[in-house]
Amino acid sequence: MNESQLISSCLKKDKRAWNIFVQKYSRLIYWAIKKRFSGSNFNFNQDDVDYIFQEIFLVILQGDKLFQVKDIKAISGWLAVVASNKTVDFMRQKIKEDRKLVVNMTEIKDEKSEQELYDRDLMNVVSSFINTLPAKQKAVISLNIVEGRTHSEISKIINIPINTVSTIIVRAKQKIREELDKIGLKDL
Amino acid sequence: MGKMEQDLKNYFKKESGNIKKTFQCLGDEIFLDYLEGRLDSQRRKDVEEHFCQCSFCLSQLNLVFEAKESNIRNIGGKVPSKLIKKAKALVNDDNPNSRRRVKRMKKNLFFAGMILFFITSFIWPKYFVQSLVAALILGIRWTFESEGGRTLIMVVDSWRRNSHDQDDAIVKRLKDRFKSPHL
Repeated sequence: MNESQLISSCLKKDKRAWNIFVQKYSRLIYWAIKKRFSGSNFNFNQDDVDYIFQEIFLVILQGDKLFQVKDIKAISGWLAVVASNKTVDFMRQKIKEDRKLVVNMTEIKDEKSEQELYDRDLMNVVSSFINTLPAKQKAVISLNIVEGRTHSEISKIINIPINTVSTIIVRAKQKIREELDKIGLKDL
Repeated sequence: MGKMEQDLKNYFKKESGNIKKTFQCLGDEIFLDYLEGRLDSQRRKDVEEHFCQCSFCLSQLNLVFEAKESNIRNIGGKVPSKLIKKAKALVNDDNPNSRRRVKRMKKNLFFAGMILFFITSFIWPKYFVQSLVAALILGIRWTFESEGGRTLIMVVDSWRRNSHDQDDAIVKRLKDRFKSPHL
């Protein structure tokens, strides 16, 4: 059974096809849920992951979401997006219901150590600099630093030449170093 | 990783940790259209600009990239088998197609049973009445199960309940419809 046949059989609610579909994409969906959770400040547990996992398959099946898929090559990426969106919706709902936001303890401490003050100043410099960057440059830096993407990967993701990506990264880091020097904070 | 890079990472982590999904963020459908290359050039440009401005959608795009680059059968950790079992159970064995098949088979069984009992009544004269009654019951069941039988019941019921003023006109219309121009 090829991918197109699998999808069309799932739309007909064929048991065998559905079993193959679940087996094939369960790891991807599970991974996407966990990734979205762990990238947030949300305090989640295994039950939350399990609940969303079931919800996603239910939405795919009952909402006939697979009808929207025209190009089979896009399905894995799209399922990851669906899983991620569903996780975000869940988090928002939970936050609304329980107000279980994780409180950043460093923000409510009265006494701060010297190191903490230094870190705060450093973060202020970094934040103010990054906010002045054009959107595209900010996206490049974010993908490079946080997600650990290589220059060529970034160029594929946001569709810009690899040389531009490299230039943006080098210049941004240089600029931050200069800003830190100006106010007497050196990059350690 | 240098201290500065760590700070940059902290900054973006803090940014992405606060989910900033807005009504402008891309929904599942637009995302799919973008991934499948079905957006016109202007819309595509708008979407790509949005990716650069929105940390949430950028992280979604990164997720897509990672999903596409990985082997989906090995990505992430192992999924608990009870979860997979539960997800599989969302489609029951009695899906509409198989239900229809079972219904058709049942209808045919009534018909076959009716014929069998009818023949039996002649083979074993000792059980003539019993076999004939069984054939009659199965025959009635078969009639009620069939589409035609149900339609006939509905027509008769409707005819019985409603007025008969227009009966002649309806009969005439039906006769006209089936009248062959060559006769």
